[in-house]
Amino acid sequence: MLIIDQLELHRSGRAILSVNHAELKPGELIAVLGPNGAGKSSLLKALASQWQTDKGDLLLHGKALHEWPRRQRARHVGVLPQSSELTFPFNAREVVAMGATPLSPEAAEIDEQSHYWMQLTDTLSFADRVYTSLSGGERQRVQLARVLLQLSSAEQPPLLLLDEPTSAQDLGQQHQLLTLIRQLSREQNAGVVAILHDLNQAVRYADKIWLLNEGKMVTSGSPETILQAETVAQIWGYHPEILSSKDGRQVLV
Amino acid sequence: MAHTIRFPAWLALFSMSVILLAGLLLSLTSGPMKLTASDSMLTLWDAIAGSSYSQLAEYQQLVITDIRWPRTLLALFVGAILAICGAVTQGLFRNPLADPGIIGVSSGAGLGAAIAIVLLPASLTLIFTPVAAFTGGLLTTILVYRLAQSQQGSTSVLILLLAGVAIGAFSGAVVGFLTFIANDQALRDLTLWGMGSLNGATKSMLWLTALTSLFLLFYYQRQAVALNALLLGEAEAEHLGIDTEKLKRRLIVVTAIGVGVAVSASGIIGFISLVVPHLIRMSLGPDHRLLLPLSALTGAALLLMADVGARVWMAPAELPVGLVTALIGAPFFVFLLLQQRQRLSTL
Repeated sequence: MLIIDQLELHRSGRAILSVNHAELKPGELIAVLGPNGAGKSSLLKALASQWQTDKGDLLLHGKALHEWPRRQRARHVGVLPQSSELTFPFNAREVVAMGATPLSPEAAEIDEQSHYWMQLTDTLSFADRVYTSLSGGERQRVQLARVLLQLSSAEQPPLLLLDEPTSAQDLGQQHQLLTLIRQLSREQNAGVVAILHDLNQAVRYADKIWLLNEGKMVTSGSPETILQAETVAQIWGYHPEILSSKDGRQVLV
Repeated sequence: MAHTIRFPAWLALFSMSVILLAGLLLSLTSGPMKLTASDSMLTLWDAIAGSSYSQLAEYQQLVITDIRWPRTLLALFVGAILAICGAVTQGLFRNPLADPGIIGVSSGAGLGAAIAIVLLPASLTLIFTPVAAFTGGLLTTILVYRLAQSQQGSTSVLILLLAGVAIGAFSGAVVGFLTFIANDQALRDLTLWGMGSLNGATKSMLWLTALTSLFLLFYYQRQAVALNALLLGEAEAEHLGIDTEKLKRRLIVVTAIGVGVAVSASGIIGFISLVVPHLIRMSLGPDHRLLLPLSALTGAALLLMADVGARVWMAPAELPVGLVTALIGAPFFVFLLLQQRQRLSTL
């Protein structure tokens, strides 16, 4: 559904990202990994049409992203932000309902839809609380419900972009969120591109990894093939020990 | 405390309408000449429908139709414009303290108006005062917006407030200078206007403010959903399919029109634009689809009431209404600052 081809990105005259070729299929979850400054956020901003690309193609369902009409694109590409600047006293339910901005359903339908996604993201119990009074993990799930509502009327498999979705959360919440996203991406047939920091989380939840370093996509493939001790040492400068978990998955220590 | 309390919108609509009607009656009946409510309403009805039910003498009727009624209308229109512009400015800056008066937009508009009053020949001031006020307001909004916008896209409260101080000081100095070079007529106009008064509403001003308030209501309402999304953050709004650059540009220009018209019609009347949207947010929530129309209604009712207060408080002398709104609004501003102290002190 998503094809990146010969992509180049410049900011203030400097090349900050180049990607030869990468693809994403519906229902697939991709973890974008790399050290700080590798260009992960730039890639996400390009995919979110926040930044203009200078060269190459960024195709969603065969059509260049920048050629999609704004609202149409918003119905197919959702971004879960790392944190939100929201300071006005909206309650959680109202924040979720904002996901309906690019849609055009009736008000009653928005209520029903919000309720549905809040149930799925387990946010109903604090639906009437002020968003700013929620914990980091709760906020993140509210935002997720908002983005899912935003993508709910997509005619083709939607693309969900996650910018370090677990940064504001404790261990339990991190796994809860990633499990939920993993499950939803399969159920809704959505493609997910997530910037992750924890390599073990990538191994556990991602179908594929895009590995970035110094503004280039170095390699891509399944977690097991990519995350070898030598590769990790080369890119992060740290020599991990690779163990095997009970269910046969590799674990980096 | 963390739970949101939302009053039903119909309740707010109903109570504000009652206050507005009460204000209307008070405004028509208060003044040095004692006229009863029924006589006043009949006179008004006659003027509108062309009938002759009213028992009042002609000079008494004139007090209603030519003095009190235009003043009442001007209060309603200006109040609505100020409140709705305040609500939008706060949304645009994503900050409940971003009031056109406090961040200096009103002073900028006032400076423009003062320049037009003093430097242009009297025959041109009627047309060019609103234009000059709009230009002053627009330039200041752009300046303040540029100043307060950080690289991450958030706005700094500190810079907003300081910009207000700086622009206020500057325009105060220039207006002071203008009073020195003004001729007698211009000086009189400038002083009257500068006190923030709804006195002496001309027909053309009434039309201008009426059309402006209708235009703002209609235009802003269409942007209400986008304004909500903008509160999430600019990037988030962009991801929701909104062209934020275009939205911001338009809001800045339209708000400058609103502030410019209000300032040229009645001078600088502070705090309505700060207090009203805040009250509505506290009772109905920050959703712009409700906030905007209810702010307009409440602003109209509140300014009308304040003007009645200004007229009867020291009767037969009349206080400028700007004085009354400042007396109520300034303590309210301090209350807001106290409330936000936690957040402000980290800046």
